[in-house]
Amino acid sequence: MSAEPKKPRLDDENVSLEENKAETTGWFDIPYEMRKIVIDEMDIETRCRFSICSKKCEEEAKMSQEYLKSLKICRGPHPELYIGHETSGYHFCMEFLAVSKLTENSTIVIYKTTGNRRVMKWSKIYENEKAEDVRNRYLHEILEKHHKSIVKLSIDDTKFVLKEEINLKTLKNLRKIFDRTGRDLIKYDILDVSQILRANIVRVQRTNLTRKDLMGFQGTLCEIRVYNMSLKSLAEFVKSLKTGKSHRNLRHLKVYWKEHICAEEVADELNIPYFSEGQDNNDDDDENGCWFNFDVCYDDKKFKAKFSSHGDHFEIRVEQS
Amino acid sequence: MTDAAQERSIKLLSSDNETFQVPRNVIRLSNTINTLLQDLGLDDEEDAGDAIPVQNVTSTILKKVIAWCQHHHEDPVAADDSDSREKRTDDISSWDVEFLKVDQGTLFELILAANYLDIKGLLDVSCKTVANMIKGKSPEEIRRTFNIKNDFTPEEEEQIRKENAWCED
Repeated sequence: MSAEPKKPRLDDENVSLEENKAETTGWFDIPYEMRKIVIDEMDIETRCRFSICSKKCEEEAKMSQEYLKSLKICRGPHPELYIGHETSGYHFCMEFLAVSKLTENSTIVIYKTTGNRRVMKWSKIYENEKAEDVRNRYLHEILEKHHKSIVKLSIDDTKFVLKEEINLKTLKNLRKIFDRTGRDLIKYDILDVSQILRANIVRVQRTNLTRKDLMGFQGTLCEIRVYNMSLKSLAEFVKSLKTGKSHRNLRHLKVYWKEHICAEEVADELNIPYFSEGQDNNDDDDENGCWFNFDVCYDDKKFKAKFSSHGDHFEIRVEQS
Repeated sequence: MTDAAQERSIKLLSSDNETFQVPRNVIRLSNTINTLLQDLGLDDEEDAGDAIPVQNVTSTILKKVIAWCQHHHEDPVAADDSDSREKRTDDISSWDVEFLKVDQGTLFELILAANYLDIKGLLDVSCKTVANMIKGKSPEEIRRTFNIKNDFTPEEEEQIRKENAWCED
């Protein structure tokens, strides 16, 4: 191989830095992806200071992967005590504040990597601000900013309504937030049902669920609440359960109706026998209700269906046989 | 890549048309080059032929990148535990610390080159170095160091400072 002109020696570590000196010296000259990596490498204090530099810095500090990964929280032994770790991130603390039940009298403890801990009272952090105001402010900020392009939401105390389709990753992140807070009632108006299932959402409340939606359920679905489902749709769904061909992961289905529906009517439509209260043979001492006798077993599960004595909901539970 | 292939070298052409001959077992740290050689079926070729253009990297930076690969090419492959590992910026080897004592522009260009050539180790260590440059600095110092324009209104800045007092000692 012929020698190349100007070929440098590979062991020459003392490359002259003066020649061809780079012109890119500003933070925003680094592409976004790399800025994100740098921010991820920052410790919490550095990230806090960095976020004060400019609006864009603040936004990027909050959008870093580390922030998203920081959706891990340990609750303290006392419900009003937040125990966090500094590596979980400042914005995570804010997120927790936003969704937690902390009050103005709460104590907040942050453990630092040095082993020290910092104990603060709410009043020290938020002078003249009510917990609820701060909570709402941050909740909006967190959810709207970090999922800005894909999520719009309104908050009705304990309900979070997603009005636009969101992607799976976002859904998983949201789920973590809601799981942690006890505010677990999420109403999906437009969301693709299959996405909910892939995201392993535990509880789903959905209005106007169609038969197609319901029949399309796959994956690990633990609990579904459906409102005003037609009896015909319910019958088809139950039939599919009985054949054991689908919905193998279903643990709990509740169907609610606005108007009273009698158990016999449901049973007729579903073409299944039922026991009225006190007659069931299923050793169930749950609250009042009529239990339909499901004679279906597959794998290690069996179905049990219950019709509320109030006539306003139908419930299926899957139990280990 | 076979042993014979590792002993061979390839040529890289910088954006300013300087050619570098690099042993393949050194440049294997670049996933971009590795993939390129495999895709072109040149992995086992005795002579990889023409120099591979590295259009986004100047000769100065490419020299540095090759020097880094030369030093690290026998390092054991690190397990991919990025999700669980603790964030640390104080685990940079002394050689890398010295290596990265460069002006800010060069450091930024090294990050870009490491990203373009997909050299994870170099990207990690360069980004950590930038993070360390920010560490311990006040917001004003960070702004000055990285030419960041403060676009907060005084009220907004006061608010965000108050919020960020949370984690300050």
